[in-house]
Amino acid sequence: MRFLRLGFPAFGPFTGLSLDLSGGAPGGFHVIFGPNEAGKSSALRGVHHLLYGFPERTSDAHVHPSTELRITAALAAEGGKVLDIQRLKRRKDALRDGHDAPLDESALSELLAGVDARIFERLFGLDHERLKQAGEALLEDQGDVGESLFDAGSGGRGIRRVLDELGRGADEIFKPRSSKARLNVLLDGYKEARAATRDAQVSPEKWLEQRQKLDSERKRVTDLGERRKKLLEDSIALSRLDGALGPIARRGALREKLAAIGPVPALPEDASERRRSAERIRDDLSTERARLQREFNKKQERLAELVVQENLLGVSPEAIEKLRDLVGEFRKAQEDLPKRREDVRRREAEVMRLASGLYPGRALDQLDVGRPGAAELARVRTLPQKHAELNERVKGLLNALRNHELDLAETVSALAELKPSEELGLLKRAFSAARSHGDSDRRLREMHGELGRLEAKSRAQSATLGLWQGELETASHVPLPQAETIARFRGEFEQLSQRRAHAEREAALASEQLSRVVEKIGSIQRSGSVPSEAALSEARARRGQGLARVQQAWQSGAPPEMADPEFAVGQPLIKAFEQSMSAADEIADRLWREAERVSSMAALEAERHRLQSEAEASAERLRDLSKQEAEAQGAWRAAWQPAGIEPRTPAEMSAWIGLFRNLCEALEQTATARRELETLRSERAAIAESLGLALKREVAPEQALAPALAACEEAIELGTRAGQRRSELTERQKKLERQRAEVERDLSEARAALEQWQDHWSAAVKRLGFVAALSPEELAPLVDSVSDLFTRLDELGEQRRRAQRMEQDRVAFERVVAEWLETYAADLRGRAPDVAAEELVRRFQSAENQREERAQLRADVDQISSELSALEARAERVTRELDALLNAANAPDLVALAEVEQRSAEARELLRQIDALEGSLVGDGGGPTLDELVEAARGVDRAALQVRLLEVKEEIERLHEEHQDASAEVRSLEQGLDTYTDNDAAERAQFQAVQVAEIREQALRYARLRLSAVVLEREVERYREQNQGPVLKRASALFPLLTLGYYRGLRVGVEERQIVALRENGKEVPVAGLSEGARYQLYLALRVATLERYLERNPPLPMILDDILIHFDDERAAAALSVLGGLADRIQILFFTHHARDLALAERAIPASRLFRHDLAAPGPSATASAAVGATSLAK
Amino acid sequence: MKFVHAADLHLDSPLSGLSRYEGAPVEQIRGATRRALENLVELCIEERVDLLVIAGDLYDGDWRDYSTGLFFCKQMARLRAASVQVVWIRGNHDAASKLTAHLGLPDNVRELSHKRPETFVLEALGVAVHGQGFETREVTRDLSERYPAPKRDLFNIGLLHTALEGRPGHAPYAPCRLSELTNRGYDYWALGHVHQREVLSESPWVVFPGNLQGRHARETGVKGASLVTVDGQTVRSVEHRALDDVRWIATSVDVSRERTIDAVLERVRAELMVGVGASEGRLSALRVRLHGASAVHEALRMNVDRVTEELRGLSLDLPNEAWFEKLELSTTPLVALGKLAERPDAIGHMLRGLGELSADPQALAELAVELAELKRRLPAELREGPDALDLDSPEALRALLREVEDTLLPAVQGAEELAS
Repeated sequence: MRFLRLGFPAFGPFTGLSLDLSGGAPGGFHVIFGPNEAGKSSALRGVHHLLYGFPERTSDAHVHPSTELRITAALAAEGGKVLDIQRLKRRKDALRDGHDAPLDESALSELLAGVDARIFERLFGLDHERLKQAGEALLEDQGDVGESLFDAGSGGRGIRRVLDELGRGADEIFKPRSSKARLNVLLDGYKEARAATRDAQVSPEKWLEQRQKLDSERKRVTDLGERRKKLLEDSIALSRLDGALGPIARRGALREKLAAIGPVPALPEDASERRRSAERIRDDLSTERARLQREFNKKQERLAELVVQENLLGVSPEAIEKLRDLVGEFRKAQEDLPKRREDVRRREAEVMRLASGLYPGRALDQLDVGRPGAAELARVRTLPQKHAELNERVKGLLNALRNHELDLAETVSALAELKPSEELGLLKRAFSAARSHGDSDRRLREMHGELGRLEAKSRAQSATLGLWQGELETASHVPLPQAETIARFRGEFEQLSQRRAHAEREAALASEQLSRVVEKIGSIQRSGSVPSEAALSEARARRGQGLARVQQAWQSGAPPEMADPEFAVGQPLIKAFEQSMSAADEIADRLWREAERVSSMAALEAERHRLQSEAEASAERLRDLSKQEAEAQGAWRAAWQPAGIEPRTPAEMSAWIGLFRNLCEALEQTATARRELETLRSERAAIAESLGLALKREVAPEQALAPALAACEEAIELGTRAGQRRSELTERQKKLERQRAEVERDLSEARAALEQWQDHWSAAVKRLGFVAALSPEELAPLVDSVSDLFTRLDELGEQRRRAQRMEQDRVAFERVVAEWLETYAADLRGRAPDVAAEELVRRFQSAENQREERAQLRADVDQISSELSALEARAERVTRELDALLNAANAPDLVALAEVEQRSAEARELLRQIDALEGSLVGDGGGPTLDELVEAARGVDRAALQVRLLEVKEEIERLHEEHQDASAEVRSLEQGLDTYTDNDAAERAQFQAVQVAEIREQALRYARLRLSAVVLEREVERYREQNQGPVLKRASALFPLLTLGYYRGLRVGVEERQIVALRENGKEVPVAGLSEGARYQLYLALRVATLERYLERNPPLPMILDDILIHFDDERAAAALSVLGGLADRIQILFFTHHARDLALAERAIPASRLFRHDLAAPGPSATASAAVGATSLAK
Repeated sequence: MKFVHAADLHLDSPLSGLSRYEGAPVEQIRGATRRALENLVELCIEERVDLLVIAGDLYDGDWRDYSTGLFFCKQMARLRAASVQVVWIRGNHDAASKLTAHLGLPDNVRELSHKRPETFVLEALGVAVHGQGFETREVTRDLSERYPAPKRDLFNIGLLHTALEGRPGHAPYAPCRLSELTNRGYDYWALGHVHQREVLSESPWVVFPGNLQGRHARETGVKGASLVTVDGQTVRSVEHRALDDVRWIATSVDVSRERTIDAVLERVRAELMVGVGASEGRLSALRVRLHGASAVHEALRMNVDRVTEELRGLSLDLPNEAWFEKLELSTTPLVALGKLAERPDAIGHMLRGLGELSADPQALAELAVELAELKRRLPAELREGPDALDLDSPEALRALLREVEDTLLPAVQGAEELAS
């Protein structure tokens, strides 16, 4: 891909800036010059935003608001296809095509060949800062070949630093012998936690032991409680007896006093009270009787005096009350009547005045004829407003109608101007078929390359394989043993060889031990013979034999000097026997004396026997092993027999099979690639044919399909747009026609409404009695007057009716009064009716009062009579009561009665006290009875009793304390047991689980960092192995150019893996010995070499360089430009700089045909690009 | 008649996988299994159930603390006071438990024999419970085979600790076939052993109620027991009641549309609000998995520690208390790694090398040596058993290599500026 044009219509400081970058295809070196503040950095950022989108926040919205930022470009793909794109700052549809229609990001990423933002920056972007960092990184890793190449190949991050960071990160977490690393600390903590959990656990045995202790302590509490209870009972009995001694004595004294009073009638306790009360009542009754008799006489006298007017009684009080009310009303009406009549006259005059204005000539009583209703008046009031509205609506509709007709005429003529439509189906189908097939031009090229590579690979692998000489095609059918078989043999051989080594070791050991034992035996024997148990038995047997012979000889009488050749030759028997005796003793003595040597000898002999049999067993095992090895070897060969291969060891063969499988795989891939290539070719032919049909021209399948595709796409685009325009216009015409019809309908409706209104108007005016020609404006005041007139007419009617009613009321009153007088008071006739009525009322009331007084007097007389009778009865009862008391006391009179009463009260009091004492002795019951108590108290020594009581109390106190202690112990044991249900151990286990989780987390983190470091190191090393050759070779050629021949080249130093530079005189200079500038140049050489290697396999993208020559002197800057200029043959280079020097140097170092210059003018809204040197105009 | 069916209490076994951090609700996770048992007992009391059946695994086999047993006794005594009968059998964990052997339980608790199948008839309730416990830790024969025939006119409950025909993540103990359980003529099979609730049949009912309290991130969601209402010999309803004290919640968030870490955090926060809301006021243990091909992939990888810290902080601000357990990063970069590996530059080379390394057993074995010392020092729980940290099998090393790839790629490309 390359840029044809780069535009900043609105971005950063730029407005409408456009750079023509089409020159120098396929490469081109474009110097984009922007002095300070010209917006060079903005332009650089712009390139990235264009390709990969705006970031969330941008610093380039200071001139144009963020929503209006826009970057445009024309990009050329490798096949020549051109894509116009625009980039906007927004979340959705930020990428647009040349017509501002949304464009899928995939269209752009296809051009970028899948290179993402970061890779683009790393491989195709280079600025002075990164150059500087990379130079420092080279110094840091001392020019390690692998790391330097890897840095250059990945964009210069400083792989040494990454490795260090990973290592440090891992060490912070875990180090085998550290006590501070995070994981080490956690592991130590975990060990403690585990021990704590174990300690917190309660065993069932421990719990049961505590439980038993609790049971026994509880039993003790119960026993103590019972003993205490028993003592308490004793103490209560003693206390009671102690307390009873006093009362019993007092009781005796009281009983003696009672006896002294002697016999006396038992009068009731209240006898005195009753007597005094009866005497008092008797006196009160006689006073009351006298008072009542006086009262009775007074009432009787008054009754005789009283006279009642009987003829006025019997009239209902309501009727009298009503008569009094009528008098009041009559007097008020007499006062009001003249005023009412005057009101009526005034109101009549007013109505006549109003009526003569509206309806001249009409009489008062004719006015009500044809009177309009209230609803009707209200309706008439609304009519003028409605009239104005209707007129307005008609006017508006007429206007709208005119506008619609104008629009319609315009649309129809635009439609007539459009060209007729074309059939697009064929084109679209051909295009989408070709599109779905992807970039088949590129795929074809790639597949050719791939096939060649695969074929070469399988040839190379076959050549290095060895052991097998079959045809390549038959490789996949060679019957090779399974991997498991080889592994089995490998294990078997290993096992056999281990067993052999073991057996040999054992045999050697046994033989060595044997020879040591034989040697020891020899040395013991050399220091003198060793007596043995066997020799002793033998000597003793001989001695026994000798003794038998001697005894025999002695019994047979033979001389002791005789010889016994059977026992000993040449010696007398007795001598021989003596010798045999001393020999046996000698051996026995030596056995005892030399016991140590004897036992060593015996042990050594036993050891020799054991070792000999062991040596034999080892030899047997070795023979056995040899046989097994031969068998295994035979089976191993047999396993390879079908493949016709003489196998080497299983380990070697296992590696060999790997290589062989690789070969088979490579062959399989080659065949697949070939098939795919064929398929692709036939598919392309079909696509070419359908494209040709659609475009109506020949398209050759063997040529690139891209131009035909582009033509097809353009035809579709044009056809589609025309179709869209037509359907838009047709739609508009239909819509306008529909709207016009609607307006016409509305207009006719409005006109009909206006006519209808006119009818309503005429009818209403006529109904009010006015001429029809009246205008809506004239009518309003008239309607108000009509309404006013009829309101007043109604009020007049009401006043007339009220005056009439008053007159009628007066006549009725006079009649009623006359009737009353006829019946009850003829003497009042001839007086004014209201005066007469008032007098009559007063008379009625007086008669009623007299009647009530008489009734009251009669009732009072009755009442007093009955009260007198009741008094007599009570006096009788009191007399009986006093008689009864005299009888009970057996007293002749009331004086004697009082004396008896006195004695009786004394005796009663004594009995009460005795009762109280006995009650206190017996208490609430439950204790001993009174008799028992009296009996128990007889002859008791009170002092001894109290001593005993004190003793019992002390004992109780002691038991109480003991009981309390035991209860406390029970409680503490219970609490102790309760705590056993606490989950201490479980909590600790939970804590332990938390620690395990933390350890797990850290361990995984450590594993990740540790392995990352190991793997990265390995990959750097592998990268070196693979790329050291080509990249270093090319860099070695570039380095002299960049250093102006100061260095002759690069090579891997004597110390493996270090890059060294070679001086002209052959001297090697390590990286640390290079100047700062030379290190930048070294990195640049490595970068260019890596990029060239990348371009061998991948499509090119523009390279973006930013002021990379800051640290270079003029000559070396020119050299660098010349090297980059060489690269510009193949790829487009955008070289941003703000040094005019770079421009001049570039003109010197790079051929004019390839060099283009662009100036970013001073910032401001009018910034534009000046013409580029040798730039051609933009081809679209 | 109402009864509750519970199983797999694993009393006092710890919740695993939770690492501490500043503000983590350390106090609240203590004794979760105990509180779950208390909840179970309260459910029985509140619902006035007549019977509680427990299908094995009261304790963890290697747990020796007697206080655990005493706590269980205490809870059973509460049920005794509420006239609730309890019938239980030993599971694989109880068989080995020292606690089971010594414990004297209240007289409302009846353990069915582990020597032979046994029937316990509760005449007053009209119920017969059949069952047999585990005698040894590993029972590999079908225990249900010899269960007695159902009792006529009674509601027959089969109490069984089994893995059925095998359940992923559970040892295949006391295997048996579902069809044979359903054909036995029992009205309700109260199963235990499988920690995930599962209703295998409704005629008759065959139910795994799941465990009472989830104990690690693989036991997510509602945990509790089944409340069964019976009318004569007909099951009227089987309701699952949540009894757990700490709820494990796994939230999976697709971040393919997010472009910044802040946006990712905001998304996660919203998801967690929903997730924690579902915990009904309990403490939740949260695992968050981020997935999707996303522009933010590298930034997340580079800042995994910071993101974890942010999420921990965020979990402190949720409406209910929560412990952030783990962040699982399963995102992928926008550019497929395969595509990057095709490139002939150093990065492509490195990715290809990693691919080859994964495929080479010999090389993997060499890598494992680098971690041997670490492995030797790890606690026993991480060296073997279900939570072991496998550091030397080829699969584990391949998984580690994928993380290595995620670590190295941005480090080598210099993605430090992406993080900011």
